[in-house]
Order: sequence, then structure tokens, then C-alpha cells
Amino acid sequence: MKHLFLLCIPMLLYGCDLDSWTSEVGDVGIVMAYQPVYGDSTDLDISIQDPRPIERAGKIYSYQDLLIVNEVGEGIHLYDNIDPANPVKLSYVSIPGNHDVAIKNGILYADSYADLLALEITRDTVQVLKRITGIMPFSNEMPPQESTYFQCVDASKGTVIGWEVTEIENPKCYRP
Amino acid sequence: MRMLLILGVFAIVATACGEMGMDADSGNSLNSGGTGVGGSTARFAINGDHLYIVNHTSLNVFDISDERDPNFQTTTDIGRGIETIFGYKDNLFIGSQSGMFIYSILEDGTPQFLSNYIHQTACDPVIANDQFAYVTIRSGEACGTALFEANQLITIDISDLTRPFEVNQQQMENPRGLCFFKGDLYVAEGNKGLKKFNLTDPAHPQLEAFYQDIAANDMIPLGNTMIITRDEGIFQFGCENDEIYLLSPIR
Repeated sequence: MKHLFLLCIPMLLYGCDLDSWTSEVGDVGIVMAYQPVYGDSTDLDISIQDPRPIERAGKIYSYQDLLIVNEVGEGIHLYDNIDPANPVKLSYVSIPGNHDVAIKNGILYADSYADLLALEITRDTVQVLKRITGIMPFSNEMPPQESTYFQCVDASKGTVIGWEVTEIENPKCYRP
Repeated sequence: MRMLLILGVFAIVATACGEMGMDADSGNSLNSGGTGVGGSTARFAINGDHLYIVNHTSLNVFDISDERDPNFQTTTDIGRGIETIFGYKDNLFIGSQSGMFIYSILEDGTPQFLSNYIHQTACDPVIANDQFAYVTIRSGEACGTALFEANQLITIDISDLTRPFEVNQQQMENPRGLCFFKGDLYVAEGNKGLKKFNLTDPAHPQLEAFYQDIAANDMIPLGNTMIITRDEGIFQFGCENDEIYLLSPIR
């Protein structure tokens, strides 16, 4: 984590380690906070599903007639947008931990927590062509959101493959 | 049967509606051939055989010459709070919480540092054309600026990519993404609305309209359609007689 401190700017709100976190938070009661999800990232459910409503819209990506809308941290909605006045829902693809996508020649690249996936999506299937692990390293150590409390990572429980927001009583960690 | 491919054979029109003569400058696609377009807050950008991804501290490059078999190529440490990437021609414009960084990717796709423009700590996406980069910075708890006000639209002269300098700064309310559309500059002000700036004098964007009823976080300009994201969904707008109108909501 040493390189995090390269750009220290003294006198800032949280001192020097803005990209670090503290594990000595006093009692704050029950708050919405992140808790780590432990497991094996290849176990995450990447699957094609029926269209569903957007709950929390994230980033968007347009490719030919296809419009992709990210469901923050969960997956992507696919629309046929050949007529922008009448976009047609096609499907929903579950990609846990996803925030960004890009496409080249029909192959979709997506982040999934700390990993990068190359996906081939057809009307009925989604296939993981390749997984490159650890491209978003911080997602294993602290949640993907600043100014937030979280349950400290307990390495004895395994590898952190993601984070979920939930009510936590007196979380001990805080990411400024 | 690749659904992504059978959906249509229409080539994507990634220009900002032509009026400013920009090509493929409206999103994160430098070569629009077989790739798509993202918004200004994207962390992914594709240029030819390379996929660029910014995480919080670095810029990672992946070789996608075989798109089915991406391979990690190199990484460049940039600093802290790296948030967005915008590709334009052979350059990458990277928005971070401390400023804008410009990298050339002429050489085998490997980023070469050209320059940076440092501002106060805040969130900031960036878009650019040949002469100017437009950056929004936003204060707020999630942006490292809980204690001071930093909501600005900043215009930076980048005609010399190695020596960017600020030429204009305007007070904003809560700016987020931004895009070129129909020759104008649109800036998302979150729940406050959407602002349209006239770029007749591109060094000094002139506020022309403030659509307070159009909440916006980010946009993709596509030909005659602007796709707007907001928290609860996606809204597509058309443009006629210099006025935008709602085409469709996606929920």
C-alpha cells in the first residue's frame, strides 16, 4: 500500500492517507455500511436472465444498435435501441460487482469486483471466455466507495470477492 | 449466433453531430469501427487493439488484438483517486481527484505521460477535442472535499498537449458527466438538471440553457440522440431546432 501515500497533501481533511482506511472507528450505532463477501470469484453467478426493471442505473454503453445500462454492482440490462424512441428490452446479464463495460467486435469486457472478464453473449447464453484477476486490487481491501463505514476484512475467512451494502452495528472500519 | 452482432449491421455514428467537425470524439471510442461508445465517467476505453482501464491508482493496458483473448500488457501508476478515462485520437485524458492527466498512446498503445493539470481535490470527468479539454469538478463527501466548495466547469487549452493551461472557470452547482452534442457542450448537474453551453467561443463556454427538469448524471451523444443517465433510469433525447426533447424513458 506504500504507493498510496505518494501524493500526500498535508493539511487535507484526513491527513495523508486518503486512499487508506482506519480500523479504529468508535461506536457509531447501526449504520448502512459495506460488508465483505468472501468466496471464490469463479463461483459468482454470471448468467443471462429475463429483462428486469432498472433499480439503480449506472453507466451506459452504446454499441451498434445495442444499448447497455449497468445495474450498479450487479449486472447489465441489454436493449435493442435501433429506434431510440422505442428501445426494446432484450435481456439482463448478471455480472456481480460490475460497474463498467466496453465492447470490441461483439466481445464484451466487464469488471466483476477485482476481475476483468471477456464475455461472449448470445440471445440465450453468456460465456466467460477469459477472466483476468486482480485488476481492481482495492476491491479486495476496502469497499468501492469513499466516505463509508465497512466491516473490516478478516483474512481468515478467505478471499474478498465483493462487497454488499447492509445495516451493520458499530462497524470498525472506515474509508475516508 | 452473437446477439451483439445480429442486432444490426448499422455502423455506429459516433460523431457529435458534425457541427464542430469532430470525429469519434463523443465518448470512449477512439476508433469507432468495431467498438462502442461510453459516457464521460467511464473507466474503460478501447483504442484499436488496446483496452484501457483505470482503477483507483493506475492505468492498466490490455492487448485485445484477439478480442476473445485479452492479455494484460502494462500498467502505469498515476496517483490517487483516478476516476475516468476519455480517449480522443491518440491520447488518453484521465480524470482524477487531483487533476487531469494526458497520455499519448501512439507507441504500441503504451501510455506515455505528456502532462497534467492539477486542481483542488474533487471528482472530475473530462472530455476533449483538438484544442480544449473540459473538466468538471464536484465537491462532496464522496469526492474528498467535504469541507470546501469546488463545483466548477474548467476549460483547459490543450493545443500543446505537453503544456495545458486553464483559460476559463465557471461556477456550477453539482456537475458530473459532460459531452459534446450538436456542437454544444452539455454538462450534467445531477438532480439539479442539465446545462447547455454554446461553444462559439470554445475557450469561454456560454450558458445557453439550463434544463432544471432534466436530471442527469452522464450522457452519451449518438448522432441525433443524447442518452442521459440518472439515478432511476435512462432517458433518450432527440434534438430539433436546437432544442432537446424527450424521445423515450428506459426504466
